[in-house]
Amino acid sequence: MTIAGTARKPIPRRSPLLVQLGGLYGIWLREVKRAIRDRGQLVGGISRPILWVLILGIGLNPYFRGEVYGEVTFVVPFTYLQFIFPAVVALNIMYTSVQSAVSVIWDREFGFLREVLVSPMSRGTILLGKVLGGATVAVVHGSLVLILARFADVSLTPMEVLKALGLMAMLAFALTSLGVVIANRIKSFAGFGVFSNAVILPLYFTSSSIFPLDPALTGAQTRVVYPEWLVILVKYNPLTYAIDALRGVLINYNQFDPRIGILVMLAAGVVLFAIALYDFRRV
Amino acid sequence: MTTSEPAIRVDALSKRYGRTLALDEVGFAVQEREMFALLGPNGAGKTTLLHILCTILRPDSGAAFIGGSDVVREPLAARRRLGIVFQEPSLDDRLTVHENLDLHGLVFGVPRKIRRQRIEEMLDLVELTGWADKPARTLSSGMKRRLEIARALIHDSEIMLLDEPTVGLDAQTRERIWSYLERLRREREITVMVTTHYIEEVEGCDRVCIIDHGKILALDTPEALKREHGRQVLRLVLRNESDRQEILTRFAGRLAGETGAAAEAPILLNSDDAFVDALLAEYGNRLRSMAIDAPSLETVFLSLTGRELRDQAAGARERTLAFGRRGGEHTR
Amino acid sequence: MLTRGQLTRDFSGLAVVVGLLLLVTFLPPDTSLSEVEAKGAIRACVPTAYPPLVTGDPDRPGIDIELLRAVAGELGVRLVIATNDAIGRDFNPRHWNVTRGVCEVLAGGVVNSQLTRSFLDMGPAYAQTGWAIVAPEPLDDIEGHTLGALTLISGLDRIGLASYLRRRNVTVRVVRSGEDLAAGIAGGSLDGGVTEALLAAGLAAEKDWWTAPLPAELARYDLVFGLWKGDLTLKRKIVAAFAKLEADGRLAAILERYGVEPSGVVPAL
Repeated sequence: MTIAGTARKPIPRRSPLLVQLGGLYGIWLREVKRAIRDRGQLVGGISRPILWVLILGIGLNPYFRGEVYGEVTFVVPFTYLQFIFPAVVALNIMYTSVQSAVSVIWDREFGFLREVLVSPMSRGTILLGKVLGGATVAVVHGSLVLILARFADVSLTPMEVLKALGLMAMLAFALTSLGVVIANRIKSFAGFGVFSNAVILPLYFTSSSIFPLDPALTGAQTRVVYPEWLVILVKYNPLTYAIDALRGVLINYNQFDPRIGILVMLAAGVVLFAIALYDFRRV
Repeated sequence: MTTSEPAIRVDALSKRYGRTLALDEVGFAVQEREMFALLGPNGAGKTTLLHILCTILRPDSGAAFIGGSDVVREPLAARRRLGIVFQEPSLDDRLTVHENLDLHGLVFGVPRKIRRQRIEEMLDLVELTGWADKPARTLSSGMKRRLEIARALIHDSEIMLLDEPTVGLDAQTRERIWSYLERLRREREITVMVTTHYIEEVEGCDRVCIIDHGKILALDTPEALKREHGRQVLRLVLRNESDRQEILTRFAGRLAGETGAAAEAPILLNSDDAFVDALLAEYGNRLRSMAIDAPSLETVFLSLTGRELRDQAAGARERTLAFGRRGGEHTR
Repeated sequence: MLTRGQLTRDFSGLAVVVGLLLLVTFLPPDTSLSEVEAKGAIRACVPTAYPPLVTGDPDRPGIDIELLRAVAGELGVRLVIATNDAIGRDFNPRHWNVTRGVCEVLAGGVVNSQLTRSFLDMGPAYAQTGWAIVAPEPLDDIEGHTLGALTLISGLDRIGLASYLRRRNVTVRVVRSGEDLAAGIAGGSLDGGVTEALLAAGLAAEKDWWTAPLPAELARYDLVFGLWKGDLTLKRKIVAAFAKLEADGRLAAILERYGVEPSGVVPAL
């Protein structure tokens, strides 16, 4: 057995910033690789858009299509398929973001976290790498839905796609941070189903995602058609504004000022990441 | 590192978890290029000590230094010198062997060229070159351990800390891991500190520190320990209960450890050849079995703690692995 | 170090997913096209007359009628025209009684506006329109004049026009048809007329009058065919037919025959 070359040689020092950046890349790359190798996650990434857009969208489309010119229950400039399309993009991002964040528990439980905690990486770098990695995967999953644009009759210019990707990135970052915040508070290892049922779906269903609550066009109608409590739930759900901003870009329809959505996502991203970091420093 | 400064120095280190004192004023020094073993049963405080040394746990009082760097005040400087193998596996199962090593190199700031070279060297060292592109989950637990050792060396660590590196492995694999450690120390001139509760493994170490209930009981070379604390121990199982009670009372001063209440539990007695002869002459026909343990670290431990250090292997690692098998990755 | 095998393995899953989703987009989302094909005919609701889009003249039937014929030819089905007197007569399209049961396409002056989009889906744009003024002599300023307003076309901004005219102190007389407008102007009871740009251009060409678009504050719109919302398969087919008509020059030829500048087909997909 040859043993030449195993003698220790000192490693040249690099600038601390470069080291942190390299580590950030490493942790980000790990998240992306893990996600790409997780076939289960990919199955979710494809089955959700297909079920929501194809089955729900097509199934309900006849109920929303025009029958008599000048006569529709709600005067809205889109078909049902077009309406839920941006929401399905958001749904796919939600699932993937929270899923990535939940792996924080796994990392903690299985010691991988310890391996990076004893490295020269700062806690902030570790968390940022993790959140960025999760957000990247989530944006990819959101983009998978965009493939169905033609099917949903949503026309997209390259500029619109870029804008949508920007919004999706903001949303994914905020949601991944949210997932980490929740994961940090969960001491025992609960299944992902808990997250899905307690966080994702309630947020999603009350975000004006599958039916429009439209203060601009049908302000009076809203209160006539829907009970007050539902209107309030939707209004106070931050995701409502994120989906609205996305809708503005994808189908040119806004219920609110699209800047509210951007503001909400940026603020949520910063605040949630700060909370996650605060928790993480105490690990 | 100045030559006068030891590789690891621990001064009056204490750590308390609630009411239990995990470490009680522990102090010692490990010299450069030394192979140092921390021996003790589960819960003795070994892992706590190790976690303080690798900067992820803060001591309540006292100080610890890695190559002269205070682990509390200069954790980054300490971490750069350390190569750590934790008791629980900390590999990423979905990454390949190579990717696991590469990730480690990245987070430790090893430049790309050196990283590539080190990975090759280290894979060669632990004989995993052929597995470089296999996902880590396909490795056997022994191979995973070897990979973790290789990983701890990617950033040219000077001091290796290994927490129970051989627990849960078969004898052959354990031997192999020790041979790597021995070779590493020789060729790469590194300091190795290992915790273990397998007594037979520490015979080859330079010095052994026996620790129990957070206190150091003895610290010396294996030979010196055996000379000083090692005794010949006699294990007796008697045919009937009255004889058993008679021996227990008659030789109470020679009892070498706690004796179980069951009639079948062996009585452990400190002995020498003359005592064995005398005992055989008197009780020879009333014995069911008798065994003589020559002075060994096992008997050293027995005489220091009054307990035997056997069959306590169901450690955290096994529990973790079982958890993984049971639950799988519950993220979806 | 990423080996090629590793990369292939990593991305094969993603590629399968993308491929599956792409395949899904080829599934027909509704039955509109298959219904038209089963009947062998496509039905279009048009107003009785809306020159130059619909004239009622068998030799020069109008831009929309010719386009509809060409599109029906591309689809391989007959064209059935359902003329509807009410279109344009009545402000409220609900009273036109245009339903899914009567026709698949609504043509003859449908513009792409927020109002239209609220009720209908639409095919590609083939020309532009807006409000225009027509008069025997050029009017430097419409301030204080009496103008006839003919608002046959659906979807243009009537409210915007009304408030614009009110601001300019124009006396507005609402007229019912192109003939009424022409007669009013020719008879001198009206100084001029305000109507949809193509109609104005047709009138001006016919009577050798002057015409000009109203200022930019009143938006210009694309002329389109109205389709029922949710009839995605039919819409795709019509968009494809338009693309073909534009590529082989037939679209430009039809527009030219009626003296209309082509705006270039804006693909709606």
